[in-house]
Amino acid sequence: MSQGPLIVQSDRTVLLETDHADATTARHELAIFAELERAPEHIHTYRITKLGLWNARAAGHTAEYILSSLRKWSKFDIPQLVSSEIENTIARFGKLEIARDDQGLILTSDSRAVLAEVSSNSKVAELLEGEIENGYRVRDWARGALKQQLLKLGWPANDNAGYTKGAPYPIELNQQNWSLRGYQREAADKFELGGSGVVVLPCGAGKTMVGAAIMADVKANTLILVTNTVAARQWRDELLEKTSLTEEDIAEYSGSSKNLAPVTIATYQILTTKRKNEFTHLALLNARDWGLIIYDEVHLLPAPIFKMTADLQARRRLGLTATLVREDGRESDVFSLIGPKRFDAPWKDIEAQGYIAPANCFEVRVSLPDEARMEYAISDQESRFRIASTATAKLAIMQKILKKHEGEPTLIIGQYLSQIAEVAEGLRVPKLTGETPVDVREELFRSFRSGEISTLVVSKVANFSVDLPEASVAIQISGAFGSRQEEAQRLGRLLRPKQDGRSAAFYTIVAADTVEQDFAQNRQRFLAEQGYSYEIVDAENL
Amino acid sequence: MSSILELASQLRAKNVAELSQTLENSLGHGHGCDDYFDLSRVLLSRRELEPKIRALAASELEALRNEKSTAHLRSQNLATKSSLPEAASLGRELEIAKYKPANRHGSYLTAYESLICITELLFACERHWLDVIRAGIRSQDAKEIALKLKIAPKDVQRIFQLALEAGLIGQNESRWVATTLGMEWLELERSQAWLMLAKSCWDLPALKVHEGQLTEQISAAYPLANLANLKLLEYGADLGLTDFDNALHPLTLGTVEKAAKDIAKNLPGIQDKLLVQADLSIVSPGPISTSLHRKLDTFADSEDLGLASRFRISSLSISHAMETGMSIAEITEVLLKSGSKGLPQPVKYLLQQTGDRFGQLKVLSRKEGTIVEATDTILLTQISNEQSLRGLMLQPIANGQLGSKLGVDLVYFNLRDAGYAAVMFDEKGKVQSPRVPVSATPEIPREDEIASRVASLISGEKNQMGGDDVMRQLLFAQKNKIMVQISVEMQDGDAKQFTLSVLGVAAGRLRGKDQLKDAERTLPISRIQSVLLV
Repeated sequence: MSQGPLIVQSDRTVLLETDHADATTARHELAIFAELERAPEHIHTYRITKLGLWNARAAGHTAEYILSSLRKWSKFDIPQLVSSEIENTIARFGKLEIARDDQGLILTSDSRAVLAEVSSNSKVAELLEGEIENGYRVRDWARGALKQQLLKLGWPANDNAGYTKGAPYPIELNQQNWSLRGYQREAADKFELGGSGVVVLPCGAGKTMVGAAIMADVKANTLILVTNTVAARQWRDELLEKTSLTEEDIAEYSGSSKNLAPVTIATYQILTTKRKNEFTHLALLNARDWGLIIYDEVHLLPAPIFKMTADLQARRRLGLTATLVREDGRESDVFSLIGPKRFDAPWKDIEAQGYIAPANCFEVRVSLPDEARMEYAISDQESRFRIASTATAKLAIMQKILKKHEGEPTLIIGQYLSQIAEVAEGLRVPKLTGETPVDVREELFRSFRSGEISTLVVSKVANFSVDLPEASVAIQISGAFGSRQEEAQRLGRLLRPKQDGRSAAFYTIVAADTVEQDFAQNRQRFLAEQGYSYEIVDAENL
Repeated sequence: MSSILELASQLRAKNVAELSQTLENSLGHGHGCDDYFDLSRVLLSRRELEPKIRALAASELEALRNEKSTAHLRSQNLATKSSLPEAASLGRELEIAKYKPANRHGSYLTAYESLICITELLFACERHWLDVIRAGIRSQDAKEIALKLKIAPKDVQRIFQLALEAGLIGQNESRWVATTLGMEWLELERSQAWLMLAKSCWDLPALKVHEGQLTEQISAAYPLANLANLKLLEYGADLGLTDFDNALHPLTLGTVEKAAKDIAKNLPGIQDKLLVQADLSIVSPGPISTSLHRKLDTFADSEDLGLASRFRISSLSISHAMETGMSIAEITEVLLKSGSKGLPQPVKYLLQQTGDRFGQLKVLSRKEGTIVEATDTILLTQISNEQSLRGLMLQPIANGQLGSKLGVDLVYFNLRDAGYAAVMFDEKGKVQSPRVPVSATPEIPREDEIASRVASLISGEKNQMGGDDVMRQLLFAQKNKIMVQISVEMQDGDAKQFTLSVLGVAAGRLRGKDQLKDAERTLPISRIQSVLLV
């Protein structure tokens, strides 16, 4: 026990006092085995989870290391339940090992009891064949499925069965006008050590570059899976600009073009397209001898891709994401099938290094005129949210904000298409929604990036994987504020470092004294918990 | 009891005639002799003798079994001429009482957690309507408190029982309230607070305890001891005296006072430091004193309590503080005084806005119910159209006024539950605090259906049905082959929901087919809290 910056609580949360002199060192040790849940200005909350502990164990850390770290930095005694759970959980990882001998895959353990326990499970049993000394032979196709099942039973296997090298292909980073940042190199090195796994970096921290660096390390045919076509083209552009790859080396496999090349970029959507109940493009996964498969935005990986990935366990897999939290709770599948977390850097650390623009968040509360208030008052609960969200009183506030940030690249983000159309017309700015054809989208993004247009009204379509590095102002006019993920993605649009070093401004316009204001509290809490400055302003004081 | 036993022995030794004479002398007539015989039999029955025998130390038990009289046995009336053979026979016959030690971890930290839990329970009694039920408090209330304390709801229920044992909480009609003793307990130093709790369950027989297996030590010294009756074994882990079945150091110190000193010395030190954050949370990075906890509880909602604590302010919590007489300036002072370097803008905004709006929505008592008053008529329209407030039957009665036939408390609590910062005013225009004055003496509950319904509404839970209602609904469902959704209070105090088709109702039990599990279930009707026909 020390006068350290940590408080370990019996629900396995760990509080970190950020103003404490040892906070930085303690945070680095804590990040190895605990997930950051909240990071407001003074007290950060981490949670010790089973997956977090197994991630740490996979990275070579022992229970003794974790407990001694906690004891070293903890202000009070560690609850006995927590320490015994850490020991028990860590002891389970690696009790089973998947390896390969000259005849194929094997599952081994030094504990007969553990082997007996798992092999008596019917779902595991059907993945195993003949018994061998200290274990079982594993069916050829069952490596991924076995890992999933073993994790469900609480016995995560250490997968040492190795990877196929894949068809070699020369890829180099072309660092003439840029250089890989320290944390990006570290992430690539950690991945190299582990072989497969997930790199967690905040939006705007350059995940694509980590992917490129790993491609340059592996030097093999690579399949990159992304969320949509626009993201696919941004990957292509980045790789063309920052690696030795040429246009001929990179192919796009999407709804609009289906080509193959040593580096192929495909969308999740095309892979999950079904015809006559069959996945039409499943062959892509084995169309070449891929040495590396990259899963962009791994927290959005659709369920069928998990199933397909279960059959790709012999190939190196890299997951890239800003958050390991999945709305569907399938974090354990990411752990089993893509791999453990290999690298994680907190947002604030990267911001402190100057690689992410600081963001100031403002909630602008606009009072509804009496007529709108009366409409709101007599409506049912469901209609109220929409009435508040689409209040026309918001338009004048948008104009005010645009005037305040005149000339600055600004995104106006909304949920309702009719509202987006009205705003686009009212402000005479272009709009971009899901209905906008890909070519037009790309052109709009290009014009926005080049500064030809300074304001875009966009729908949810811009939430994911669209890189608009010049945007410095965002005005959120409506949205499902309950979703933290959506909030993070929206703010992520603004977090790219600005060339002139200015801060980004994130406005949310909320109808005062309505249900929208209640929902907005979730956002306030989330953003403040992420450590962003947050202010509430009445529209008349803007 | 000893004198009664003595009397019983003497009476039993008499023949009918002598006994009649004795009774006539003492009572003036001889009727009811048989009753006295019955009394004597009962008093010397196994039921009366057994506890005395089970409480005997090993050597005394040995003597009794061998029908040897000792001073102690005589003092216990186990070795009188008439009782010795029966007692000795029983001593030989009695088996060691079965006991499974509590599977609970205990330490100095758990002692601290118990103190925090009782503090929170006392505050909850003051601030909320906690219904009296057999298990203690309702499972939903236990869950909410457990969530804050990061312990299991069943642990909250057990610690609640400890608070009852110590007399800190009592019953006022159908609501749990903090007693005067409970309010005094809040003001005590932690060692004294712990001491008061420990004294209420310090019931080990005379024994020099060593660290190690406690039940073994007790059983070695008192072979027939009924361990299940020992409160200390039940609450020992909560008080930091036992860890699973092991005696911890404080228990080996011999006296409860010495144990209190040791516990107090090892409790995590108080740090009355607060950090106010832009997400409207107030965090203390260490244990806080009860007085600061109390202040915070007035204007913030506790979310997380333990070694560190987190509270959160909202317009409702601040408005609540203002109702109890606190000003915005005083709230600000508490926050700044306890170490915060300044208030984040969203906190200042919230404080100012709530202060400015305080009292704009008034709840007033009138002869035939309640008036909700505001100058903002659109707000009143919104309230009268609010789905969740339909039950209040609010009707416009004048410009800027809505009327309800229901009581002022009910209207007030429901408006606040719906998110409206309503404030109660008396007829003189003075703000009324919603806090119920603490009852010094727990009152005996009385049957009052209206009060019970109001209490239930206030607690936001479904009205608990009476036994007749339950039976009527079940029989109706069986007759008409209607499915029922029932809520049943389980043994651990948790409520479980089942959707059943009723197959039979007999002998106090309901037999039904669980549609979800496709299996038959038998449930005690006395534990059914509600029945919904579906």
